[in-house]
Parts: sequence; structure tokens; C-alpha cells
Amino acid sequence: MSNVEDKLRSTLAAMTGSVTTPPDGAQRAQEIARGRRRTRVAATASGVAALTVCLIVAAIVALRSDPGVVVTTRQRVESNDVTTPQPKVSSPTTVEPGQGNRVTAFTGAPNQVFVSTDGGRLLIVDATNGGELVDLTGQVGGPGNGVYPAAVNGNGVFWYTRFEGTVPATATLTPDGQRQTVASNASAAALSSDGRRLAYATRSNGATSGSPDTVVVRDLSTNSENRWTGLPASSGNSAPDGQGVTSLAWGPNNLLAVAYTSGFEMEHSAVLVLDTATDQTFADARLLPGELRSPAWTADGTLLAVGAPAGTNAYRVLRFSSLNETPSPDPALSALQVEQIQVDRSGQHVIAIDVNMTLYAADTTGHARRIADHVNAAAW
Amino acid sequence: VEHSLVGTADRDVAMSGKVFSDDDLARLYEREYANLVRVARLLLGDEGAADEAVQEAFVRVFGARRRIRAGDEPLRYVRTVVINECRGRLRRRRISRRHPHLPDASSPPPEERVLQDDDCRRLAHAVRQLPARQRACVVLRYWLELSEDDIARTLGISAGSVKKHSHRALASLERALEEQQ
Repeated sequence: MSNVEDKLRSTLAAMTGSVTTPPDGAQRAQEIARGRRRTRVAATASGVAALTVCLIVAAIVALRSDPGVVVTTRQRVESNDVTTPQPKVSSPTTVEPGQGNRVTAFTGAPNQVFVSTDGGRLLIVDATNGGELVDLTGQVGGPGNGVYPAAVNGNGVFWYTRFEGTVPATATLTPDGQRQTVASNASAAALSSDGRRLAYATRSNGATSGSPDTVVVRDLSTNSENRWTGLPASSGNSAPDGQGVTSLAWGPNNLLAVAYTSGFEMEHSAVLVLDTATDQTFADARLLPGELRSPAWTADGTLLAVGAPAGTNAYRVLRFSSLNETPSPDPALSALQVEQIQVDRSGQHVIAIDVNMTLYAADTTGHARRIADHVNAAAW
Repeated sequence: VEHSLVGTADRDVAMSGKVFSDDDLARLYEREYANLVRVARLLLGDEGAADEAVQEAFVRVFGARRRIRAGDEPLRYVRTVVINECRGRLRRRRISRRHPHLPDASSPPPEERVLQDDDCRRLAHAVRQLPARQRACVVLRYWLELSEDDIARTLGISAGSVKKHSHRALASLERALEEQQ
């Protein structure tokens, strides 16, 4: 082996070639870093300003109302008395950093899609025409590109995961602008369609670095939790190393689809279906064949996932009408280069983000319409 | 040999219990940029991408300098950021390969320069064919001469995994040499 090691040293040295350090490189890196910091600060400051404006508006409205009636901000929001901007009728929305904030309130109406953008904004856009409805940038305590929208429940409460450095937390934002951390060191949050259970991924033993290898399901009424650890090796990876949960999706009858990756480049991906009512360990769960990721369930129990059908390497959106059958390409989305899929809380509408970070919505006629560009993550 | 500086740089740059200043990091840049680009070249096999990866890593480090403490050993921190940046680029390259309509983000491997020796040429080819994690272990071990513990901390994996990946990589490289003889 030592012969190889010696040769390896000289070979590596020869492979690297000569490098010239750019004379102003450090200064340029420093300036870019400062520019990014200013953008983040501006986003946070404008969020605070928007919150202040909203509170002032709510106070004025309350003062003008019948003195015998106590009107709360929450009631105002739900009855749409607070000034709500009209949707822009422009399709698709191109989201850029630095556009103005308007109101903080949102209603969780069925056509509202939450998006975080690669430019650091957090927005609600209209799923029908791509118009920007509400700018929530800065209201979750950091730039939008560190935010991963998870769900919005019927009361308009927005569930999301936000990264603080390498440590994620799952939190909620209520229509009146209150935010609360629900679980720390928790990513890939998924809220069940009845809003009673929260599933999230975490790192075992409270580690603050490394891949999240544990799935937790919390009953939100009792706060009791069940945990599953020890992800099985994915089909393409016989030596699991650094396996981590990337997304979770609730299905019918307590089923939870767990997507995870492994490998240095996260080159292996797999989806297993966990019955949270009966499966004691991941070994009891069902590992679906093939390289799959980003699962989502529709209301009729169809599982969608991005993957390559057996014997091919062309990735597309696949539909599993039954977990026992071979999946078929999704008619609306299979022609797109989709990387992420989400289904709304009714299980009726599908949104997808492609490799170019463009957000699409699929309709029941088998067509996908483009909603917005530069989208990092979305929830409906 | 330039890379022999790396072993002492952590100690040199480690400051006495204070947050690092932009000047500290600028000095680290001047001293380590070339070495880090070489590491990135070995991981990515692409000179342009390697330059970009290291520059982007330093942008991130300048942006996060208040979070770096003296005990963090800034060179290790920067090295980890560079490797994570390379991982991200390898991953994006893999994504572009997954979608056949997109152009492949990778560029062809650099010209063979000083590889006059047949064994070295075969070895260079075999290094490029290694799975990414094995390649990273080999580069950190035989180019930067890091210990197994240091490699483990840099890559965020266990020392046992480092040993396993390094052993497999060396076995593959040895086979590549033997097969040609």
C-alpha cells in the first residue's frame, strides 16, 4: 500500500497545478459579505416596519368602531377589515429582494401559496395568477431564504422551519404576527391534514450538526411524542453514512412518507412509508423500490414522488395509485424537471418546484401553470 | 512545499479569545487561498469551479466571522466551508445530469500537466473516478496530510467512517494500478 500512497502524494501534487491568489480577492469577498448582510438587515427592518404599520392601522380601525364593541386585531384580520392589498394580476411573479412590505396579515385562504425565495423574501402569492398578496419578509426573525414553509392550517397559522446557522427550528406565525417556536432542532416539518399531529426530523441525541436521522411525531393536543431512529440503507447505498431525512408527508390512515438521502453528494435518495400507528421501528416500515424523493399524498391516497422508474435514469414526477403497483408518470408534471412537490391541505392541489426554482401548480386537467420564479421552497 | 504550511496555520491564526476581525480573515485568505483552491480542484476536477467555490466560501466566512471563536480554529472552519461548497456544486452537477435537457454543469477535467509517468496518469484518472466521499478523504489525507480525527471533523463524519472510506479508496487505486500492469 505504501507504494500507492507515495505515488498518490506526487500525483495529487501534480494534479493541482499552479494557483495565483487574486490580490483584491479578500476585499471583494468582504464587500460581497457586507452587501448580503445589509440585505438581510433591510429585510428584517422592513418586516418590523410593516408590523408597526399594521398595528397602527388596527388601532385606528378599533378606535373608529362602535365604542361598545371590542374589536381585536385577529377579528379584524379574519373579517378582512384590515387593508389587504389587491392581488397583482401579473403572471408569473418574479420575486426580487428589496421590494416593499405591505401588510402582515394573511388568511390561509385556499388559493394562497407560501413561498420563500432565493433572494430572501417570504411571500404569499395567489395560486391562480401568481400575483403577490402579502409580503411576510422579516416577520419570522430572519431572511426568507432560510425559511422552509411547511403548511398553513385553516386558521391561517403558518407553519415553517427556519435555520439559524446549521440548527433548524419549527415554528408558527399567527395571523396577528405572533411567532412561536414549536420544536427546536426540528426540520422537514409536516402538519397532518386534521392539524392534530406534527411530524418533524431531528438529529439523534440533540446533536447540532450532522444529518437529521430521527423522525418525531408529536400529538399537538397532548404534546406526547413518538420517535423512530435508524434509517435503513437506501437501495443504491449499501453502506449508509450520514443518512438524513429531507422531507416528510402525511398520507391517509396515519401513514407518513419519509424521504431521506445519503452519500457525500446526497446521491442516494429513498422513500419509506411508515405506519405511525403500528410501526415500532423503521425496520417495520415499507421501503419503496428505486431512487425516490420529495413525496406528497393527494386526498384520494395517491402517493406522488420524484424519481426514476426502474431501468431508467430520467427523473420525473411519479404517481403510486397503490404502493403495490408500478408507478406511472404524472400527466401534468412529468414533462417538467421537478425537484420538490407539495400538496395543499385539502389534498386536491399540487405545486411543484423545478430545477430552475420555478414554481408550478398542477390542475385536474393535466396541465401545470407557472406561478413564480426564484422560489426556494413553498407550501400550500 | 506549500501545503506543509497548513499544519501550522491553525495555531498561527488562532487568536487570543476574541472574535476574528476582517483583517485576521484577510490574512488567512492571503495565506491559504491557493491551498484551498488546490483542494477544491482535486474535489471538483474543474479549475474555474474551484476558484469560485473558494471565493464563495470566503464570502460566507466573512459574513459569519462573528460566529467564529478562537477555539474554532478558523482554518478548519474555512476548510469545512470550502468542502461544503464543493459538495453543493457536486450535488448541483448531479442534479443537472439527472435532467437530460439541461447542460452538464461540469467542465472536462484539467489538462494533464506534469503527469509524465504512466502510473501517475492512471492514478489521476482513478482518483477522479472515486466516489466523492472517498475522494475527499484521500485529498485531505494525502494532499493536506490531515489526521483521521481532523478529516472526520472537517467532513462531519466519524473517524471510523474516514478509516473505512480511505481504506476503500486506496484499495481501488491500488487495483487501478495493478490492472494496467
